[in-house]
Amino acid sequence: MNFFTFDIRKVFAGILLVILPLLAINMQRNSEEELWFTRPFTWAAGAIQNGFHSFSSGVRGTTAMYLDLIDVKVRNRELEEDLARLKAELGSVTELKLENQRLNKLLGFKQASTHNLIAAKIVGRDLLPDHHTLTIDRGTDQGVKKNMAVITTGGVVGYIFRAEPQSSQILLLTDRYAAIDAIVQRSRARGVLEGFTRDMARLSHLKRADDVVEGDLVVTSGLFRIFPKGFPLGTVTKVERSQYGLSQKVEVEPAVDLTNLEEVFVITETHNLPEPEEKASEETSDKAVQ
Amino acid sequence: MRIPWRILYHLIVLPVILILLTGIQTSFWLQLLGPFPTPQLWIVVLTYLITHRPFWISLGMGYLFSVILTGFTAWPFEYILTSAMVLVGVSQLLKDRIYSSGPNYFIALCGWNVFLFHVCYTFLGMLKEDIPFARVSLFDFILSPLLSVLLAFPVFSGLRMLDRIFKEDADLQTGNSIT
Repeated sequence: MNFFTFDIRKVFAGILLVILPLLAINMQRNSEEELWFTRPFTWAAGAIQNGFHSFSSGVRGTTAMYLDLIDVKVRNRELEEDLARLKAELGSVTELKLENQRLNKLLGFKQASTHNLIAAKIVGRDLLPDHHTLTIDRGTDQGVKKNMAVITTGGVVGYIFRAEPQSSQILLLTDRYAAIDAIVQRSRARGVLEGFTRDMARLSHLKRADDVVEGDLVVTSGLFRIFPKGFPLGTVTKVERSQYGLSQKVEVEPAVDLTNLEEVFVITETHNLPEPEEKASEETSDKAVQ
Repeated sequence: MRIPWRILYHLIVLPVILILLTGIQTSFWLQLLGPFPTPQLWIVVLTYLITHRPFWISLGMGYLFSVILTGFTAWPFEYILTSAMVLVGVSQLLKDRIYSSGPNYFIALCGWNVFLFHVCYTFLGMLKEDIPFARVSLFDFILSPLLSVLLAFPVFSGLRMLDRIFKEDADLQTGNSIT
């Protein structure tokens, strides 16, 4: 057989099957950049997840309503008794509320929240088991933008990495692509919290001499103006210092159970981020330590 | 004007089916079973196309599916594409040697493909990605192919029915394919 005789279709198949994908993964593209041709499908993904969520919520709601009807009579009697008791207690509670308002005013407490929040429901999760992302039913139409912080009452959840008109995707703090600037609340040691496994993150870039012990609370540093300062990220569960290394390995258990989330808050505006002067002074002190 | 049913079927109907099944996998499954491992339904659809279409169509659909799936995950497009091409290439090699158009062959190939995807995914993650992953979840590694195998038959029946509606004669589309 002649060496130069080849089937052009096989060559073309080889290019499409092997060479093109290998070229693509070696192109060093920034993974945060979204490709223009995937955008319509990202929108479709959000829309379909919203649709399925509404459908399953409807089914669950109807089933729950039917089950509730079975013992509604008994519960009604119980509730009537409760209502009578609560009415009696209401008078004293109103009095306490008024007193509380008065005292708050005296102490100069701010009643308004320091953050502007948008409540969102979780409607979907990542296609792949190793990536920890969640889809929410709020998007750019409601004011959600890329890189906004996502929290719950217990602590930080992650941040928005993709925002579409009616849905957005959150990169959870346990995802290996996630990185959040963090400090240890007790000793003020600074590091970067990086996702590791489904229920654990790692605090990296810590110096060997930094004071970190098991049980320490890790909070957001407020740098990069994404997260409010001092918000809980998790608790240190393991500290490993090798004999000759320059750093230490610190494992952190997230403050929030990220596997069972149903609702979250997106911070659209925050008022307690460190000021630029504070940020500059923090950076200077960092350099001084080095 | 004659309606190009075959093109419409492959470029519109099948992508819509894929989006619906992936929606079930990523949203409905989550509402139903929480963080329990999911079947990889997109691989089941891709496997159907590999086994019931000529090589060039399954290759093209592999590219189209990779673009569509990027919207459902944080994994970059190029990695999804590489994994999809591994599945198309390896399955084609298998199909050229052993082939049956029945559901048993298809179901076995689905299980193998989901397992191969997890291997490929782990391998790419450890070797090529900037942030390699730390631990392989054996639970996902085992359960995901099993669940995909369990759901492969209903998907197979549905796709066969669609093939009949769109007059896509599955048995004639098989055979050696690159040439």
